[in-house]
Amino acid sequence: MNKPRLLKDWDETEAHRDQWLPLILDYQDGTLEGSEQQQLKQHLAECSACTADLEGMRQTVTILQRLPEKPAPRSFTLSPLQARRLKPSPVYRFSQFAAAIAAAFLIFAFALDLAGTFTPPAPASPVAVVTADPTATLEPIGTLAAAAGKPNSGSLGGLGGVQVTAANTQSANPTAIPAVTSKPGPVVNLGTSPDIRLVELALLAATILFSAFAFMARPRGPGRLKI
Amino acid sequence: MQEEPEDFVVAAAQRGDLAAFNQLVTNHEQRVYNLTYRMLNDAEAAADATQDAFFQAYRALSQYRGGSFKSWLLRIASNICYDRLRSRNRRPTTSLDAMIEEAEKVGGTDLGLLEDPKSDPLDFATRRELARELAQALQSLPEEQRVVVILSDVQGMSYDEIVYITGASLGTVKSRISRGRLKIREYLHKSKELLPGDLRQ
Ligand SMILES: [Zn+2]
Repeated sequence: MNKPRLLKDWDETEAHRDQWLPLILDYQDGTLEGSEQQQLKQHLAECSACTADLEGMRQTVTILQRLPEKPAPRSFTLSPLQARRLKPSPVYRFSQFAAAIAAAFLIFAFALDLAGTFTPPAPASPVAVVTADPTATLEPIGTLAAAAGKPNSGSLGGLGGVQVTAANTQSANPTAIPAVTSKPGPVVNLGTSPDIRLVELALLAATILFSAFAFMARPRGPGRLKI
Repeated sequence: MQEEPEDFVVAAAQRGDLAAFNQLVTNHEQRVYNLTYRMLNDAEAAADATQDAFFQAYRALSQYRGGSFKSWLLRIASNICYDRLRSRNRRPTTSLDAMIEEAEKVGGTDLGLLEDPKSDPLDFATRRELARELAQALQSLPEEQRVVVILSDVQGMSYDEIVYITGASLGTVKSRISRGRLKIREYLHKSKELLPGDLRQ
């Protein structure tokens, strides 16, 4: 088959191949039968391009079949340690998963706690007081807290052992002016924050416990694993 | 390998028998390595990809649901090859020249071609040269043509197996095989004098 010189020639060659190559391949495989075989034979007799393609495909197969196996450079069997690392014990996988879930919930609960949304809305609290504050609209988190009549600093203090970052305290504070009409913060805190604190402590304990399980059940042994 | 006994070995491996799994590795590592080697044209990268294939197979063992275990492995291996080639293409340092250079280097050390001197009249240097040309010819194919040509013409696998391994339709597989064969032929045409006598025209 000659190298086509023009793009048009090339297109025609490709279209021609699209039409005949499937038959030529079947013919090469010896699976072309009946009228199709007759049709192709007839075409091959008058088309040098397809004859060249058939010959070229035969030659390629012959030469590729002579390409010998390349011996594997080493054995790829798995060592017991590799096997354990690839498929850790169910205890390890479950513990890891559970620890991750508990940690995620802990962060979520902590965020809710800081935002103050966990506090149930104060039933008779005059919300109008809050909206009257010009800075209130800029700080929806703070307004919520104020609406509930619960200064956030109070609830944060109630958390005790849990760390509070500067950013969190900042965002919680600016508009949290003690509400004019509702009760002082500490009283409300006594009613609401122990719930969330309990949840947080439980989640913290779960995270630590499952992490410890995972650590104890982790795959161990000498050697390394690339994966 | 024998078909019937292998089912039992696979079942044992699925129950967690590492020795059984390693038996499967031993049975098929040669073929998996050859696919990755011909795909990647780099002995070290091929060994790496082969190891990865068996790692992945071990982890996914429970997902294997009968059929040819060999094809299942080769399917994993060919997907790994695609990934490797893709990340290789993303590396800006790998120019076409560098790849050709690599192909030449590998082809030059690939002394396996037509190894038996008695069965072939070609001298050693010519065989080596031909292996180099052939490695480059394979590399010149688009990946999807390369993999089917290797599976079909180098490894002698059936269309059914290739359809399973590549996930392409029968018509697509056949079209890629014929197009790939022609491209290789055209590539080798340029170095006609390298072809063995019976293939020269
Ligand atoms: Zn024709």
